[in-house]
Amino acid sequence: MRKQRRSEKKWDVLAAVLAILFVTGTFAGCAQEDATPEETAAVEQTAKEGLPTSPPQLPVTGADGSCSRVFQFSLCGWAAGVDSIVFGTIADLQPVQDVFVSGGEVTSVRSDGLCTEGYLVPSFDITLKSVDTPWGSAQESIIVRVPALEVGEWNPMVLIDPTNGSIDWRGGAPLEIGQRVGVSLVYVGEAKLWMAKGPLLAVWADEASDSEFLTAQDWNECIAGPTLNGLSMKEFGETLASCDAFDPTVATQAEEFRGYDDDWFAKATPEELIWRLGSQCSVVDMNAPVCTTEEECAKMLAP
Amino acid sequence: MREKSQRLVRKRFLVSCISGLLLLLVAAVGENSAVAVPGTCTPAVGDFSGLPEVRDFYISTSNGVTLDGVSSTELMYAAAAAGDRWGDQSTSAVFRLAGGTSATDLDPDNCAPDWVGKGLLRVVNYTNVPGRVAEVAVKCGGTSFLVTLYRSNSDGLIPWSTSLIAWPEIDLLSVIVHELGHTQGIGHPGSGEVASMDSIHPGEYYQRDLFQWDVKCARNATIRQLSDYGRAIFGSSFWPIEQTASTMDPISLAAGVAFNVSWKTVQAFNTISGGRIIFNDSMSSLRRVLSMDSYDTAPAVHRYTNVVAESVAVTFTEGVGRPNAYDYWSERPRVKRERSTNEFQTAEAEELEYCLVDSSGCMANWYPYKVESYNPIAQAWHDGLGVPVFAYRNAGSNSSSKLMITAGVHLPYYRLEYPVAFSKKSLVGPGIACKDEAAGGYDCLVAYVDFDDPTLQVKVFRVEVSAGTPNTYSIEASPQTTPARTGSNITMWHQDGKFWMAVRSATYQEPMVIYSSATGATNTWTSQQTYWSTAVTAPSAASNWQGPNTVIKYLR
Repeated sequence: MRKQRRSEKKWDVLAAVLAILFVTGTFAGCAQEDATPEETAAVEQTAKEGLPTSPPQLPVTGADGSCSRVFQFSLCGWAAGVDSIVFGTIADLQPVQDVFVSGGEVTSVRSDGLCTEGYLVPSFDITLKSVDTPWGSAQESIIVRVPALEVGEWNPMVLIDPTNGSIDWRGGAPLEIGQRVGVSLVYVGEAKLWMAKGPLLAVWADEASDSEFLTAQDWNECIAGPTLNGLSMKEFGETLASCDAFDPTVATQAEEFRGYDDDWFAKATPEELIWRLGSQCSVVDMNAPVCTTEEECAKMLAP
Repeated sequence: MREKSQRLVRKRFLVSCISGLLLLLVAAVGENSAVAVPGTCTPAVGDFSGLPEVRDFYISTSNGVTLDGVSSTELMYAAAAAGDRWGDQSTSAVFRLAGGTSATDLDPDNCAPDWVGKGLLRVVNYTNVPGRVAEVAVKCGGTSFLVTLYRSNSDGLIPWSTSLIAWPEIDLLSVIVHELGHTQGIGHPGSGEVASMDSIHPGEYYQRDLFQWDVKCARNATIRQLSDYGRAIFGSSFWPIEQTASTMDPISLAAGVAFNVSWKTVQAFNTISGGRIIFNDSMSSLRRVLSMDSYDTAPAVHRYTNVVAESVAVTFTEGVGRPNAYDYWSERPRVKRERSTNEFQTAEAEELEYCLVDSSGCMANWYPYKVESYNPIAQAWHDGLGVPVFAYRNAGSNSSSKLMITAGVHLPYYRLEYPVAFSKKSLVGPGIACKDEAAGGYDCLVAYVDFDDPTLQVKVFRVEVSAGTPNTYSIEASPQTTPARTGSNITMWHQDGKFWMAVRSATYQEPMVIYSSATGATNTWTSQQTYWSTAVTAPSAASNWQGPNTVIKYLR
């Protein structure tokens, strides 16, 4: 065993020298890892079957907004701000039937799930199987709630067709059963469910390097988050493993990320919470009158 | 076992290095795509290409939510002024605040015909995105837009402000300017450029203005093609005669000041194929068309009779294209001189400079400075001194938005005498009119809107100009107040014993209104035209048409 270690060291030294000679030190780090049997196995393992061999498309995110600050945080700050990060294969995808009504303001909840006077942005329940959990407690399968607040950020906006209840992806990239996706989650105790918070992730296999890489939705325009697109799963896992949640910077970022939806979820009553996690019906009054003089408008818009 | 282990380790080494190479490659590709070249335009997220060039938009306030610290009237003025910031540029879309509505949302796909091509601005209580204060979305199948201003976000109540800004207040006008910019397909700058389209800076209101990056990217995204323009003879009967010239090139901005040389009107205006100058000697027939440079703001035409023969100079701003992230402003006024009444001698456009001048140019020890301005340079003829007097809104990092005035120009060197800065900043391009000793003992009036006035009230400074080396200026200590309100450039002239002022009024429909006053003092201004046509951009006027008549140019 000791001899084997020495042998490894010899190769490591050679690798380091070669790295310095050929790439001016750029890859000096590549030979300085301590190999573990698990890592060796991971290196030799071929890409998982069923993974796409090029970056898969995810629903595009992002809004044309104004930000008073751009929140910057690291991969560790993001991870520490959620309860779990999981990767799994979509086994089921269903719009949530509970509907809350928004007409500029949240006003009421509908029990019939209809939204005939406006448009319906769904919340999704996504069942993931074959789950890997690089961050948080491992579990084999999980149902994830992607709330309308997140889906409403997708572009084009995903809607429910009121005539037949089907999901209208409106030309955007759909999420499909069998697709392997990743998601960062917080556990909402009052509703007893896992809620997605942050960009959706997907994995693809690069056959040439026999490695797996991440692709991800963009952060919204007010967040300068870590670059996830193009990150190898190996590096992603290593970075997560090295995260120190007690580091002051990480802890501050995590607290900010956790506070992201506080007004919407954490400060809601339990009843409000249930339907705020539901699908969102935005009321559109197609016959709303307009006014063109100040007098007309004062009269019409008076409370 | 040992051999297998060595193979494993060798393989680990190779894979590790190859992975490292790939990672670096990926990182390099990512870096290349993330780090833009300064000055590079970025697209908006939404596809706003289905919107028309002239966009009426409405304010919704019927859901009872208001912005903290902002009245509904201030919201109206801010919305009107925000649209006008873009409308005053020749290459952007045109926005007009058309009215109010009880609608609170628009359908993503299916809108009533009334909403196609139009926009809605609303206030909503909350967004869960920290830092977000507003956003805009495509609606009605890509033919309409919805601007949402938030009362609060997950950081808490948003401290909106409309006038004097202190950290961490958010300037409402800057935010609406920013969102209307997105509807032209413009995203956020990626290289630290100073721009209205950058993230909104709390405690600052400089983003009320458009900067080099904004103007450049609007030019890339939009081809303005306004096909109609109005023209009026405005005389002692106060009755407008409107004409259109639909056979002309589509115009992209209100005509430059019409001016006469030997009783001929000179007009300069922007068309989609580049600037044009037109000389005509009657109100109906065009006489000569010369191709000119492209403009970014409405050109101004100035007349000089104290230089060799009669000359006119066309002043306009044009980006000089310096892709420097930290250039506040590269839209510099340029001057092109046309000489004589019938023989047109054109010269290359040159950047306008200022310095202390004598007959040979800049005086010794004075280096000519480049003039920088956000807006057209207003000009009036000072008949007592026999020189033109200029007023403009200074750009640049040192005295941004300050009103500047200077009397005298030194052709053919395109040099202004050293301008004097007012202590006031203006939100809009100023107007100026002069008549020797006619303004209550002063010579000239300079009309402007305080940069931090949320009610957009037009005020007037009176100025006495004395000849000397350099010329000296006696500026009235406190401004006079007028009843006019506008978010767009002001035009003024003196005629028939009165000072006149034409503006687009900052109210619903933004109608063009005309006021007059004998001296420019407060409470002496009266409205002369309230039934004028609606103009989609700022009007311009000249007083010296034959007899008591005035020519007013505007786009309908």
